[in-house]
Amino acid sequence: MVLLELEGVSKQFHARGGKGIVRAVSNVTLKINAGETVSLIGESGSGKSTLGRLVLRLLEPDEGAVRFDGVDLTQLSVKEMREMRSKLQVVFQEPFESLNPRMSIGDIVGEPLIIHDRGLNSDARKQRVRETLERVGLSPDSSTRLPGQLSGGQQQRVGIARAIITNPKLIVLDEPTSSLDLSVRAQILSLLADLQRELGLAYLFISHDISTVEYVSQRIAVMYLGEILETGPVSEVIKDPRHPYTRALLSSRLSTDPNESLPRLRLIGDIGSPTEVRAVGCVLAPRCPMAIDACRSQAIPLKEFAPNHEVACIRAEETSDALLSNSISGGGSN
Amino acid sequence: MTQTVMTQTLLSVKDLSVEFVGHKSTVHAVNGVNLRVNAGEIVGIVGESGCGKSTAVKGILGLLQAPGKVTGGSAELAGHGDLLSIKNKNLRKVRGASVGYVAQNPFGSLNPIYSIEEQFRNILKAHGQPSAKKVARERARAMLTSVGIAGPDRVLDGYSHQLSGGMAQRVVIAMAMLLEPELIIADEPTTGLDVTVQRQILDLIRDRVVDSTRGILLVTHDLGVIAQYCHRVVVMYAGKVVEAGSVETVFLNPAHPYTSALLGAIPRPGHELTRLLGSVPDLRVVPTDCSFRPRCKHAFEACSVSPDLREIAPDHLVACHLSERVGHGAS
Repeated sequence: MVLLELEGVSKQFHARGGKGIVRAVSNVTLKINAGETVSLIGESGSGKSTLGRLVLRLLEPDEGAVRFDGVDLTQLSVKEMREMRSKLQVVFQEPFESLNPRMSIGDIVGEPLIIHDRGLNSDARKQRVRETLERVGLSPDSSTRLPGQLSGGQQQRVGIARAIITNPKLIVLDEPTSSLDLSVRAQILSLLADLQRELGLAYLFISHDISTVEYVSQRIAVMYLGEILETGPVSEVIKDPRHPYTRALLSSRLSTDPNESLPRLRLIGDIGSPTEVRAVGCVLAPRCPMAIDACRSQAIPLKEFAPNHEVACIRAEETSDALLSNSISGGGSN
Repeated sequence: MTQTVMTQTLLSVKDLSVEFVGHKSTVHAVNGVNLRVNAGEIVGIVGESGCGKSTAVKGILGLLQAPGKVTGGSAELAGHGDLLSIKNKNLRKVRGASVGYVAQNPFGSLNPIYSIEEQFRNILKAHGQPSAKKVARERARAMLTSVGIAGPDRVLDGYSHQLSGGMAQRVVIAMAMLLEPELIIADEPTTGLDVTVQRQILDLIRDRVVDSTRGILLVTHDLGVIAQYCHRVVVMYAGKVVEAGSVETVFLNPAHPYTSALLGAIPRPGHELTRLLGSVPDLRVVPTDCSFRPRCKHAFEACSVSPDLREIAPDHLVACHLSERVGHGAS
């Protein structure tokens, strides 16, 4: 069952100083089923977080529809949207930055109930807070403490508790483990997996870490300069990436097996600027070692390569390490 | 790499201890750390935050800020003697010229109000090298080109805020390498950078070392970086070295439960994640037992005495009673 459906979603920003337009998200179409984890992966500046915010309507899309449970969120009034938010929650990257340092843990975790469950009296609310804290692996006693008294991992558990207390169906997880230590990251990932199983949650998982994404998601969408270049089941996309960008991104992984060296593919130069006036063609063309004239003269939409596996590359069939390896070694930009 | 090039020791740290003395208590951040870097080698230091990795490195470089203080040990740099007993004025001559330092946040290492060119020139001036504008610019330009910056002139004329994170880190590396130091100490040089940029930067650093007389000490919490770029690894926990050896040995046959737990915490599809519970201990108290004991699922009676770092196989050191009991190695 489709829970979230983005159709042709675009968002532009005016660059600082009024010069130029940043195309943060261009014409994105994406589906998330109930109980499923879909990951957005890409470098900084690819538009992953902007897309997450558009889903939550923390940003208004310029174009397109964001359908959640069959309702187009972009058409809702502020009041209707606020009610909807109990079903749509978010966990941010920096746990400490996203918690009010002067509020107690109990108040932080209980606050969504004040907004979304007004019938609840204060005792019942406290009870729900205690249950939720236990559910995320925190002692109920921690409700009297302040965020600054907790470790990074505990703070992130508070962020997760706040997100699940309203019984949401979808949580946008925006780099929830990027600022955490390895052992703590593993704890949080295990917690998220447990919660998904127990509560039937769907996750939109935003990350730049391929091994994390591979571990947590069923499907992934690879973003570059605001566009989805490849999307499909995680195992398929990682085993047989068809877009040169996906292949390059995957090849920058560092295996923790010292005897395994993954093939290296490099793109030319650095990530382009989203403010640049772009030609009609593929967004990756200026950096792509496989680019041909046709890549620069026409729009390249996502096309089905295999069932559920879509690629926005006219040479998807031919993509191979050999074709890509004649790339010029990466370096600075001009 | 050939074994013959690797025999010369560049840096030898013995029994390094660092304390932060407060009004009420003292934090024993680094407790008797031993490590060495040979020529032609990249040595990684790995561990969770708060294990003393950065503090140890800053101690070696004399860059600790009060109340942090080196309280014991030595750090011999080939040809320069013990860095820890060199007077500050002379230490400044060694730093930059013989030891380069790359910190995690490049913007913290660059001065926002000087152009990049001026900062390169200042390095030359501080070390009494020819620093006439033309000469300095030429050297800086060559160095920036060598770290993969295609438009060095534009970078030199600009200021740090005009650079992306990856470009700024390349500039800092170029500065660290300007005087061709034998040793570069890099503290999380790629944390916070995109994966694609990370590999470019690490390649750069590696190219400086392979088949040379130089060496690198690389602090990171990323096990992939260690596995793919380092020759040897030092695993730190609670201010101590708990395991050290060649990367192949330590990663494929970890002998300390902490190392195993770290390796098991890497997400891999189809594998259960190791749940390493708890956190790094409070370093205000010096434990008499093994400091990993409260988090260790293998802990037994002997762990009430802090284990020494012992060689259990050639070039494989472990501080764990378990390795004695299992019996592989010396006992």
